[in-house]
Amino acid sequence: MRRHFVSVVVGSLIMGCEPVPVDLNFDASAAGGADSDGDGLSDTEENELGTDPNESDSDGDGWLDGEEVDVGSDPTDESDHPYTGGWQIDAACRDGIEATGNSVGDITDDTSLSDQYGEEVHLHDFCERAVLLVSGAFW
Amino acid sequence: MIISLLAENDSGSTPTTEELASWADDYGISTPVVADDGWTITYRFATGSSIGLPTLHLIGPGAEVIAVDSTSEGWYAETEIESLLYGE
Repeated sequence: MRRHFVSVVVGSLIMGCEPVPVDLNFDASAAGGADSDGDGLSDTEENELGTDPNESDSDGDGWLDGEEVDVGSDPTDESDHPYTGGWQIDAACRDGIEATGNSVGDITDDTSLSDQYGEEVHLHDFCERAVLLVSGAFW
Repeated sequence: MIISLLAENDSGSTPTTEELASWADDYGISTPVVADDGWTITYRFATGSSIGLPTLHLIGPGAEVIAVDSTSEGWYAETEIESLLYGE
């Protein structure tokens, strides 16, 4: 399912591509196995992930476990959930970075970016994790 | 984390907040969708005089550049990207 999400994001930026919405209502039974709590993950998958097969929102962050897996957030971590603006910034990480360049192996420059909520985020705000940047345009 | 960078709207201007939100909604994207004003980020990682779209750039923890411009040769397989992003 995570691969599916990456494909959707990249596909959304391919010129002429028809919209392909993320399937947040993924039918776990289609992938084999019962989905006791109806969160989009089969009980087998929940056991593998460490989520509760009888609790649709295992970490209590307001997002179904299946939704979180679809977008790559951790369904067992309340602080890690789909982006709704107001990115939680680790200032210690961000402030400890010193840019060295923009070639492979360098520490890239920081840049201010405006998101879909009208908020300013900085590239270095995401320094605690790997980030896949998908570049495109509307046309 | 996946960040979608959109440099221009249909008119060739920097996308507005409303346009970014509409894009995220239309495609069901629940990760940051940001305006790449002036192609700043996209061109930063271009490996030649031009760049194909869409293209990917992979930034690791600590903002280290791991790979740039997926339209160039020798890029990561999707499974490798998944592993880096999600630690699988």
